[in-house]
Amino acid sequence: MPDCDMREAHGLLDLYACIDDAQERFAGLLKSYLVDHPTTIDQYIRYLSFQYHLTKDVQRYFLAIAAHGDLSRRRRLREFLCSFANEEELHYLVAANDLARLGLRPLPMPFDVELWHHYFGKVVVDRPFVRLGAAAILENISDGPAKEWVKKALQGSFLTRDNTKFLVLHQHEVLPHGNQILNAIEEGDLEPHHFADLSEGARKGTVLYLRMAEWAIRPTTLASICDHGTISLDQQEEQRIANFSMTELGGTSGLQQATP
Amino acid sequence: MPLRDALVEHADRFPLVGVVRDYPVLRRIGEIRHRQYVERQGKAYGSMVLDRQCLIEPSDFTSVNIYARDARGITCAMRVGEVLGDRNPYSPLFEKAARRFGLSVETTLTCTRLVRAPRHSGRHAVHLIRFVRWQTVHAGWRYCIMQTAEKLVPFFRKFGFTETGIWADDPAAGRLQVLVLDTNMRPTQEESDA
Ligand SMILES: [Fe+2]
Repeated sequence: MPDCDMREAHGLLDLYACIDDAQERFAGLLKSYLVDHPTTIDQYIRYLSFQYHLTKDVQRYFLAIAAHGDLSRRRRLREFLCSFANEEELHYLVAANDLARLGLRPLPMPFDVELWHHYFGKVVVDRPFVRLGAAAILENISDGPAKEWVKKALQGSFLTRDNTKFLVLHQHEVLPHGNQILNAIEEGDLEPHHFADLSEGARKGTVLYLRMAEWAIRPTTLASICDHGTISLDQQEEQRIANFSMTELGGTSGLQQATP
Repeated sequence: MPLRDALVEHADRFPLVGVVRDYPVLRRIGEIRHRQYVERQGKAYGSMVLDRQCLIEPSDFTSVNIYARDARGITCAMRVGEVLGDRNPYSPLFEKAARRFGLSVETTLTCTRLVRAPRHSGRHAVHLIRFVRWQTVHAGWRYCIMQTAEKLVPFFRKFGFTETGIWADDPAAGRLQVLVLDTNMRPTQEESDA
């Protein structure tokens, strides 16, 4: 038993180390730009656009993780994942509605988001903890040393109450979600190969997320050579975005009360 | 009805006219503006975006930009806004024009930053003006305040605009005249207007 606990503790420490590293790198990336300039509206448009594509249909990932047989005796973790799916599912519309308030639709999906969905969409079926490790990064990367720079990045004269709903929502969430996901992992009674997958997903998630962040911050970065054309949205989706109201988020959450 | 809901593309009647809803299109217009205003004037002008060769302003995100196009892309573009509630630095000037000429600000819209692609004659501006009039009169707007360069004043007179004598020195575009149009709630121009 102690041996088993040791291995689990080691697995967790490795995941925490991945998160620390991701926060350091994210802080470094933001600092490299923000130390000399304020955020501009085109960076903000790129940020909301990649978040729209990254978080659209995010519930599928969490429900796919929950569906794996390794969670059949880890029902609390499974329940957590289902609640998480419900809570996160409509957030992509918040990002799109913020853009709509600026009179814009999202930019087409950046190549790094495409890579994200190709990779994690495939791997999540058989190795769900790889995707969960990436989620642990997404929910924690803005914390720690990155926090002050994220705060600095989110200042601009063009930001209003109407076009920052996605940011405000996630700033409030950062603490609970980041901790909740780590608590759920800690209490999951996971095995060494699960922890290995969590760390692998955390590292790969960091690589792709930081590339997306760089794509937003530096509109001429390498990945931008794939930027092309404008998005095609069907009529229904346009309507959903235009008519979206924050009250739609209420009542879906099993994790926390919806903010008023 | 909000201006964004009134100014929607009308493919049958105005096949050449597009409404900006995507940043890459706005950026292209910003590049045309930069060439037309900033480079020609030779003045330093602080843009609000990272791209230095692109003139984009806060009111681009509170107003509606429209453009005409041909097979090679954008031929000309213009920004349509409201007198009230816009983040346009000219709002006080437009309000002054509206007051002086007895226009109700609630039913007055503004047209600013009319530009043309260097390769194009600019004759497509006609489509933009007709489009704005048609769409907005149907949505309840009556008056239009146009901000334009001196040399285009005769062009706008043909569309029923009248001079106000009000002008401003724009940091990017130089001296701009303010003209007004009373559509009398007619969505098209009639001969008597001209
Ligand atoms: Fe979210």
